Amino acid sequence: MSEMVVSLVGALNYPSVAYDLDAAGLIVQSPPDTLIFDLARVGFVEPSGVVMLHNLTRYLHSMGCKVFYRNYNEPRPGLLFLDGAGFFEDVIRTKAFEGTRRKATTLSLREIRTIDAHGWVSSDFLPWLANCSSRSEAALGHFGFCISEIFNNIRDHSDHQVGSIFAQWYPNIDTLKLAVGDFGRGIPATVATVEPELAGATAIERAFDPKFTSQSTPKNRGAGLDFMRKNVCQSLNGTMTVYSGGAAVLARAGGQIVHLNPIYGNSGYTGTLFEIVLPTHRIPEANPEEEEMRW
Amino acid sequence: MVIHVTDHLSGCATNEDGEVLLGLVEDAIRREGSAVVDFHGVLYTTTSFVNSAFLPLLERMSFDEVKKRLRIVKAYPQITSMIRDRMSQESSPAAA
Repeated sequence: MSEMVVSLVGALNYPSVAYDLDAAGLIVQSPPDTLIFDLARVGFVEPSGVVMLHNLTRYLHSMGCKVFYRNYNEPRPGLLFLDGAGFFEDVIRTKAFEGTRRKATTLSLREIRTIDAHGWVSSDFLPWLANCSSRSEAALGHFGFCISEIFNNIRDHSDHQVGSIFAQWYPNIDTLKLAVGDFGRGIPATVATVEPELAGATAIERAFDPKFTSQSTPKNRGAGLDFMRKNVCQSLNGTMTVYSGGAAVLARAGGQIVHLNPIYGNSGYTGTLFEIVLPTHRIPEANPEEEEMRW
Repeated sequence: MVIHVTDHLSGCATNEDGEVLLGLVEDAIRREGSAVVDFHGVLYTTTSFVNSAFLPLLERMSFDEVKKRLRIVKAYPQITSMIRDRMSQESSPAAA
Protein backbone atom coordinates (compact mmCIF):
# COMPACT_ATOMS: atom_id res chain seq x y z
CA MET A 1 0.00 0.00 0.00
CA SER A 2 1.54 3.29 -1.08
CA GLU A 3 0.88 6.53 0.76
CA MET A 4 1.77 10.13 0.04
CA VAL A 5 1.39 13.37 1.99
CA VAL A 6 0.88 16.66 0.14
CA SER A 7 1.38 19.73 2.32
CA LEU A 8 -0.61 22.71 1.12
CA VAL A 9 1.34 25.81 2.04
CA GLY A 10 0.34 29.45 2.03
CA ALA A 11 -2.43 30.84 -0.13
CA LEU A 12 -4.78 28.19 -1.46
CA ASN A 13 -5.23 28.98 -5.14
CA TYR A 14 -4.69 27.19 -8.43
CA PRO A 15 -0.97 27.97 -8.94
CA SER A 16 -0.01 27.25 -5.33
CA VAL A 17 -1.83 23.90 -5.23
CA ALA A 18 -0.13 22.92 -8.51
CA TYR A 19 3.22 23.85 -6.96
CA ASP A 20 2.52 21.81 -3.83
CA LEU A 21 1.49 18.76 -5.88
CA ASP A 22 4.75 18.94 -7.76
CA ALA A 23 6.78 19.40 -4.57
CA ALA A 24 5.25 16.20 -3.22
CA GLY A 25 6.00 14.35 -6.44
CA LEU A 26 2.39 13.46 -7.17
CA ILE A 27 1.47 12.33 -10.68
CA VAL A 28 -2.31 12.53 -10.69
CA GLN A 29 -2.78 9.96 -13.43
CA SER A 30 -0.98 7.32 -11.33
CA PRO A 31 -1.76 8.24 -7.73
CA PRO A 32 -0.75 6.31 -4.61
CA ASP A 33 -3.28 4.09 -2.84
CA THR A 34 -3.72 6.76 -0.18
CA LEU A 35 -3.12 10.48 -0.37
CA ILE A 36 -3.23 12.83 2.61
CA PHE A 37 -3.60 16.57 2.20
CA ASP A 38 -2.01 18.31 5.17
CA LEU A 39 -3.75 21.65 5.73
CA ALA A 40 -1.68 22.79 8.74
CA ARG A 41 -0.05 25.62 6.81
CA VAL A 42 -2.91 26.75 4.61
CA GLY A 43 -3.26 30.53 4.59
CA PHE A 44 -5.68 32.70 2.62
CA VAL A 45 -8.19 30.63 0.65
CA GLU A 46 -9.31 31.77 -2.79
CA PRO A 47 -12.21 30.39 -4.86
CA SER A 48 -9.81 28.87 -7.43
CA GLY A 49 -8.14 26.89 -4.62
CA VAL A 50 -11.47 25.61 -3.31
CA VAL A 51 -12.53 24.37 -6.74
CA MET A 52 -9.16 22.94 -7.71
CA LEU A 53 -8.78 20.98 -4.48
CA HIS A 54 -12.32 19.70 -4.87
CA ASN A 55 -11.79 18.61 -8.48
CA LEU A 56 -8.53 16.99 -7.56
CA THR A 57 -10.12 15.06 -4.71
CA ARG A 58 -12.92 13.85 -6.98
CA TYR A 59 -10.51 12.85 -9.68
CA LEU A 60 -8.25 10.94 -7.29
CA HIS A 61 -11.29 9.11 -5.94
CA SER A 62 -12.22 8.15 -9.49
CA MET A 63 -8.72 6.71 -9.90
CA GLY A 64 -9.20 4.49 -6.84
CA CYS A 65 -7.10 6.64 -4.51
CA LYS A 66 -8.30 7.16 -0.94
CA VAL A 67 -8.02 10.82 0.03
CA PHE A 68 -7.77 12.09 3.59
CA TYR A 69 -7.20 15.49 5.18
CA ARG A 70 -4.97 16.28 8.12
CA ASN A 71 -4.98 19.32 10.42
CA TYR A 72 -8.17 20.66 8.92
CA ASN A 73 -10.02 21.40 12.14
CA GLU A 74 -7.89 24.14 13.62
CA PRO A 75 -10.02 27.29 13.73
CA ARG A 76 -7.96 29.47 11.41
CA PRO A 77 -9.55 31.91 8.95
CA GLY A 78 -8.62 29.99 5.80
CA LEU A 79 -9.97 26.70 7.12
CA LEU A 80 -13.13 28.35 8.45
CA PHE A 81 -13.66 29.85 5.00
CA LEU A 82 -13.12 26.42 3.40
CA ASP A 83 -15.67 24.92 5.80
CA GLY A 84 -18.15 27.74 5.14
CA ALA A 85 -17.73 27.10 1.41
CA GLY A 86 -19.10 23.60 1.98
CA PHE A 87 -15.82 21.92 1.11
CA PHE A 88 -15.57 19.48 4.01
CA GLU A 89 -19.26 18.66 3.90
CA ASP A 90 -18.76 17.57 0.34
CA VAL A 91 -15.50 15.64 0.58
CA ILE A 92 -15.68 14.10 4.07
CA ARG A 93 -19.45 14.35 4.57
CA THR A 94 -19.21 16.44 7.71
CA LYS A 95 -18.42 19.99 8.66
CA ALA A 96 -14.99 20.64 10.15
CA PHE A 97 -16.27 23.04 12.80
CA GLU A 98 -19.29 23.31 15.00
CA GLY A 99 -21.32 26.36 14.18
CA THR A 100 -19.89 27.40 10.84
CA ARG A 101 -22.76 28.07 8.55
CA ARG A 102 -23.14 29.17 5.03
CA LYS A 103 -23.55 32.89 4.60
CA ALA A 104 -26.19 34.28 2.27
CA THR A 105 -23.32 35.76 0.28
CA THR A 106 -21.73 32.34 -0.27
CA LEU A 107 -22.80 29.98 -3.03
CA SER A 108 -21.74 26.62 -1.65
CA LEU A 109 -19.26 24.53 -3.53
CA ARG A 110 -21.01 21.98 -5.67
CA GLU A 111 -20.37 19.54 -8.43
CA ILE A 112 -22.80 19.84 -11.32
CA ARG A 113 -23.36 17.51 -14.24
CA THR A 114 -23.25 19.27 -17.58
CA ILE A 115 -26.79 18.14 -18.40
CA ASP A 116 -28.07 19.80 -15.21
CA ALA A 117 -26.02 22.99 -15.46
CA HIS A 118 -28.31 25.23 -17.48
CA GLY A 119 -31.33 24.54 -15.31
CA TRP A 120 -29.19 25.18 -12.23
CA VAL A 121 -28.09 28.57 -13.56
CA SER A 122 -31.74 29.63 -13.82
CA SER A 123 -33.06 27.97 -10.67
CA ASP A 124 -30.16 28.56 -8.25
CA PHE A 125 -27.34 30.74 -9.49
CA LEU A 126 -29.18 33.75 -10.89
CA PRO A 127 -31.66 34.01 -7.98
CA TRP A 128 -28.74 33.84 -5.52
CA LEU A 129 -26.75 36.53 -7.32
CA ALA A 130 -29.86 38.68 -7.76
CA ASN A 131 -30.45 38.51 -4.00
CA CYS A 132 -26.84 39.48 -3.23
CA SER A 133 -26.42 42.24 -5.78
CA SER A 134 -29.93 43.72 -5.81
CA ARG A 135 -30.04 43.31 -9.58
CA SER A 136 -32.86 41.53 -11.37
CA GLU A 137 -32.32 38.10 -12.90
CA ALA A 138 -32.97 39.68 -16.29
CA ALA A 139 -30.21 42.21 -15.68
CA LEU A 140 -27.85 39.37 -14.74
CA GLY A 141 -28.73 37.28 -17.79
CA HIS A 142 -25.75 38.35 -19.78
CA PHE A 143 -23.50 37.10 -17.01
CA GLY A 144 -25.52 33.91 -16.45
CA PHE A 145 -24.82 33.00 -20.04
CA CYS A 146 -21.11 32.79 -19.15
CA ILE A 147 -21.74 29.96 -16.68
CA SER A 148 -23.76 28.03 -19.23
CA GLU A 149 -21.02 28.68 -21.77
CA ILE A 150 -18.37 27.17 -19.49
CA PHE A 151 -20.48 24.06 -18.92
CA ASN A 152 -20.99 23.71 -22.67
CA ASN A 153 -17.20 23.80 -23.02
CA ILE A 154 -16.90 21.04 -20.41
CA ARG A 155 -19.45 19.00 -22.31
CA ASP A 156 -17.62 19.47 -25.61
CA HIS A 157 -14.04 19.02 -24.40
CA SER A 158 -13.93 16.86 -21.28
CA ASP A 159 -14.28 13.12 -20.75
CA HIS A 160 -15.65 13.89 -17.29
CA GLN A 161 -19.10 15.43 -17.70
CA VAL A 162 -19.06 17.42 -14.49
CA GLY A 163 -17.76 20.74 -13.29
CA SER A 164 -17.31 22.19 -9.83
CA ILE A 165 -18.34 25.72 -8.99
CA PHE A 166 -17.98 27.98 -5.99
CA ALA A 167 -18.80 31.66 -5.65
CA GLN A 168 -18.49 34.33 -3.04
CA TRP A 169 -20.05 37.76 -3.21
CA TYR A 170 -18.26 40.50 -1.23
CA PRO A 171 -20.75 43.15 -0.09
CA ASN A 172 -18.10 45.66 0.99
CA ILE A 173 -16.84 45.97 -2.60
CA ASP A 174 -20.07 44.85 -4.32
CA THR A 175 -18.09 42.26 -6.26
CA LEU A 176 -18.49 38.59 -7.16
CA LYS A 177 -15.61 36.11 -7.20
CA LEU A 178 -16.43 32.85 -8.87
CA ALA A 179 -14.44 29.78 -9.84
CA VAL A 180 -15.62 26.95 -12.03
CA GLY A 181 -13.48 24.15 -13.30
CA ASP A 182 -13.28 20.68 -14.76
CA PHE A 183 -10.82 17.85 -15.00
CA GLY A 184 -10.59 17.68 -18.76
CA ARG A 185 -7.62 17.53 -21.08
CA GLY A 186 -7.09 21.29 -21.01
CA ILE A 187 -7.42 24.02 -23.63
CA PRO A 188 -3.81 23.83 -24.98
CA ALA A 189 -4.25 20.13 -25.78
CA THR A 190 -7.55 20.83 -27.55
CA VAL A 191 -6.10 23.73 -29.58
CA ALA A 192 -3.10 21.58 -30.52
CA THR A 193 -5.38 19.09 -32.26
CA VAL A 194 -5.89 21.67 -35.04
CA GLU A 195 -2.89 23.97 -34.59
CA PRO A 196 -0.12 21.78 -33.18
CA GLU A 197 2.45 24.57 -33.30
CA LEU A 198 0.64 26.40 -30.49
CA ALA A 199 1.18 25.61 -26.84
CA GLY A 200 0.68 27.02 -23.35
CA ALA A 201 -0.72 30.52 -22.93
CA THR A 202 -0.49 31.18 -26.68
CA ALA A 203 -2.86 28.29 -27.28
CA ILE A 204 -5.31 29.54 -24.63
CA GLU A 205 -5.25 33.01 -26.20
CA ARG A 206 -5.97 31.46 -29.60
CA ALA A 207 -9.12 29.90 -28.16
CA PHE A 208 -10.42 33.45 -27.51
CA ASP A 209 -10.33 34.23 -31.24
CA PRO A 210 -13.95 34.30 -32.48
CA LYS A 211 -12.85 32.66 -35.73
CA PHE A 212 -11.19 29.74 -33.97
CA THR A 213 -12.89 26.42 -33.38
CA SER A 214 -11.40 23.05 -32.59
CA GLN A 215 -14.54 21.39 -33.99
CA SER A 216 -14.09 18.80 -31.25
CA THR A 217 -17.70 17.90 -32.00
CA PRO A 218 -19.42 18.46 -35.36
CA LYS A 219 -21.69 21.05 -33.74
CA ASN A 220 -18.90 22.99 -32.08
CA ARG A 221 -18.37 26.23 -33.98
CA GLY A 222 -16.51 28.31 -31.42
CA ALA A 223 -16.85 31.95 -30.31
CA GLY A 224 -17.86 31.19 -26.72
CA LEU A 225 -14.73 32.53 -25.03
CA ASP A 226 -14.82 35.65 -27.18
CA PHE A 227 -18.37 36.44 -26.04
CA MET A 228 -17.46 35.74 -22.43
CA ARG A 229 -14.57 38.18 -22.66
CA LYS A 230 -16.80 40.83 -24.22
CA ASN A 231 -19.48 40.42 -21.56
CA VAL A 232 -17.32 40.08 -18.45
CA CYS A 233 -14.34 42.26 -19.32
CA GLN A 234 -15.60 44.85 -21.80
CA SER A 235 -19.24 45.36 -20.84
CA LEU A 236 -18.94 44.82 -17.09
CA ASN A 237 -15.31 45.75 -16.40
CA GLY A 238 -14.60 42.40 -14.77
CA THR A 239 -11.61 40.12 -15.14
CA MET A 240 -11.32 36.49 -16.17
CA THR A 241 -8.34 34.24 -15.46
CA VAL A 242 -8.12 30.94 -17.30
CA TYR A 243 -5.85 28.24 -15.92
CA SER A 244 -5.48 25.26 -18.19
CA GLY A 245 -2.99 22.60 -19.14
CA GLY A 246 -0.12 24.12 -17.19
CA ALA A 247 -0.62 27.64 -18.54
CA ALA A 248 -2.68 30.69 -17.61
CA VAL A 249 -3.97 33.88 -19.18
CA LEU A 250 -5.74 36.87 -17.71
CA ALA A 251 -8.38 38.80 -19.62
CA ARG A 252 -8.25 42.23 -18.03
CA ALA A 253 -11.05 44.71 -17.57
CA GLY A 254 -11.44 46.15 -21.05
CA GLY A 255 -10.64 42.83 -22.72
CA GLN A 256 -6.85 42.81 -23.15
CA ILE A 257 -5.35 39.34 -22.74
CA VAL A 258 -2.04 38.93 -20.93
CA HIS A 259 -0.06 35.74 -20.45
CA LEU A 260 0.58 34.79 -16.84
CA ASN A 261 3.54 32.79 -15.60
CA PRO A 262 3.30 29.10 -16.54
CA ILE A 263 1.86 26.95 -13.80
CA TYR A 264 4.74 25.31 -12.04
CA GLY A 265 4.93 21.58 -11.84
CA ASN A 266 4.63 18.25 -13.55
CA SER A 267 1.81 16.69 -11.59
CA GLY A 268 -0.21 16.10 -14.75
CA TYR A 269 -3.14 18.23 -13.57
CA THR A 270 -4.55 19.51 -16.87
CA GLY A 271 -8.04 20.61 -15.93
CA THR A 272 -9.36 24.02 -16.91
CA LEU A 273 -10.44 26.51 -14.30
CA PHE A 274 -12.07 29.89 -14.86
CA GLU A 275 -11.82 32.48 -12.15
CA ILE A 276 -14.08 35.45 -12.75
CA VAL A 277 -14.12 38.68 -10.78
CA LEU A 278 -17.22 40.69 -11.53
CA PRO A 279 -17.91 44.13 -10.05
CA THR A 280 -21.67 43.73 -9.75
CA HIS A 281 -22.11 47.45 -9.14
CA ARG A 282 -21.23 47.90 -12.83
CA ILE A 283 -24.37 46.03 -13.84
CA PRO A 284 -27.14 48.55 -14.58
CA GLU A 285 -29.89 48.52 -11.94
CA ALA A 286 -32.62 49.08 -14.51
CA ASN A 287 -34.07 45.99 -16.13
CA PRO A 288 -33.00 45.58 -19.75
CA GLU A 289 -35.78 46.18 -22.25
CA GLU A 290 -36.86 43.47 -24.64
CA GLU A 291 -36.32 44.72 -28.18
CA GLU A 292 -36.66 43.86 -31.82
CA MET A 293 -33.32 43.03 -33.34
CA ARG A 294 -31.93 45.41 -35.93
CA TRP A 295 -29.64 43.68 -38.39
CA MET B 1 -45.60 32.99 -38.46
CA VAL B 2 -44.51 33.86 -34.93
CA ILE B 3 -42.49 31.22 -33.10
CA HIS B 4 -42.72 31.76 -29.35
CA VAL B 5 -39.51 30.20 -28.10
CA THR B 6 -40.81 29.38 -24.62
CA ASP B 7 -43.68 27.38 -26.14
CA HIS B 8 -41.17 24.94 -27.59
CA LEU B 9 -38.03 25.04 -25.44
CA SER B 10 -37.25 24.93 -21.73
CA GLY B 11 -33.97 26.77 -22.32
CA CYS B 12 -31.74 28.29 -25.00
CA ALA B 13 -28.40 26.92 -23.88
CA THR B 14 -27.48 23.83 -25.90
CA ASN B 15 -26.92 22.77 -29.48
CA GLU B 16 -29.97 20.52 -29.18
CA ASP B 17 -32.18 23.45 -28.11
CA GLY B 18 -30.88 25.36 -31.12
CA GLU B 19 -31.60 22.52 -33.51
CA VAL B 20 -35.22 22.42 -32.39
CA LEU B 21 -35.60 26.13 -33.09
CA LEU B 22 -33.81 25.81 -36.44
CA GLY B 23 -36.35 23.20 -37.51
CA LEU B 24 -39.21 25.53 -36.62
CA VAL B 25 -37.61 28.49 -38.41
CA GLU B 26 -36.88 26.51 -41.54
CA ASP B 27 -40.40 25.14 -41.58
CA ALA B 28 -41.88 28.64 -41.27
CA ILE B 29 -39.68 30.01 -44.07
CA ARG B 30 -40.52 27.05 -46.30
CA ARG B 31 -44.25 27.43 -45.77
CA GLU B 32 -44.66 31.18 -45.43
CA GLY B 33 -41.48 32.71 -46.76
CA SER B 34 -40.46 34.26 -43.44
CA ALA B 35 -40.22 33.61 -39.71
CA VAL B 36 -40.59 35.75 -36.61
CA VAL B 37 -38.89 34.41 -33.48
CA ASP B 38 -40.22 35.76 -30.18
CA PHE B 39 -37.77 35.43 -27.25
CA HIS B 40 -40.08 36.90 -24.61
CA GLY B 41 -39.21 35.39 -21.22
CA VAL B 42 -35.78 34.04 -22.23
CA LEU B 43 -33.01 35.43 -20.01
CA TYR B 44 -30.04 34.54 -22.18
CA THR B 45 -28.70 32.41 -24.99
CA THR B 46 -25.33 30.70 -25.46
CA THR B 47 -23.13 30.51 -28.53
CA SER B 48 -23.87 26.78 -28.84
CA PHE B 49 -27.57 27.60 -29.09
CA VAL B 50 -27.14 30.46 -31.56
CA ASN B 51 -24.62 28.48 -33.64
CA SER B 52 -27.10 25.62 -34.06
CA ALA B 53 -30.29 27.69 -34.36
CA PHE B 54 -29.25 30.30 -36.91
CA LEU B 55 -25.85 29.75 -38.55
CA PRO B 56 -27.06 26.81 -40.70
CA LEU B 57 -29.42 29.25 -42.44
CA LEU B 58 -26.34 30.79 -44.06
CA GLU B 59 -25.63 27.46 -45.76
CA ARG B 60 -29.02 27.63 -47.46
CA MET B 61 -29.32 31.32 -48.34
CA SER B 62 -27.25 34.51 -48.38
CA PHE B 63 -26.96 36.74 -45.34
CA ASP B 64 -29.04 39.39 -47.12
CA GLU B 65 -31.73 36.80 -47.72
CA VAL B 66 -31.68 35.81 -44.04
CA LYS B 67 -32.10 39.46 -43.05
CA LYS B 68 -35.22 39.68 -45.20
CA ARG B 69 -36.79 36.44 -43.99
CA LEU B 70 -35.96 36.36 -40.28
CA ARG B 71 -37.12 38.74 -37.54
CA ILE B 72 -36.11 38.47 -33.90
CA VAL B 73 -38.50 40.18 -31.50
CA LYS B 74 -38.95 40.68 -27.74
CA ALA B 75 -35.39 39.66 -27.00
CA TYR B 76 -32.97 41.06 -24.43
CA PRO B 77 -29.94 42.91 -25.84
CA GLN B 78 -27.60 40.04 -24.87
CA ILE B 79 -29.58 37.80 -27.20
CA THR B 80 -29.92 40.19 -30.13
CA SER B 81 -26.26 41.19 -30.07
CA MET B 82 -25.11 37.57 -29.94
CA ILE B 83 -27.30 36.55 -32.89
CA ARG B 84 -26.27 39.59 -34.93
CA ASP B 85 -22.56 39.20 -34.15
CA ARG B 86 -22.42 35.46 -34.84
CA MET B 87 -24.29 35.81 -38.12
CA SER B 88 -22.02 38.68 -39.19
CA GLN B 89 -18.86 36.83 -38.19
CA GLU B 90 -19.93 33.70 -40.01
CA SER B 91 -20.97 35.49 -43.18
CA SER B 92 -17.80 37.57 -43.45
CA PRO B 93 -15.26 36.35 -46.06
CA ALA B 94 -12.61 35.57 -43.41
CA ALA B 95 -14.92 33.01 -41.83
CA ALA B 96 -14.63 30.65 -44.79
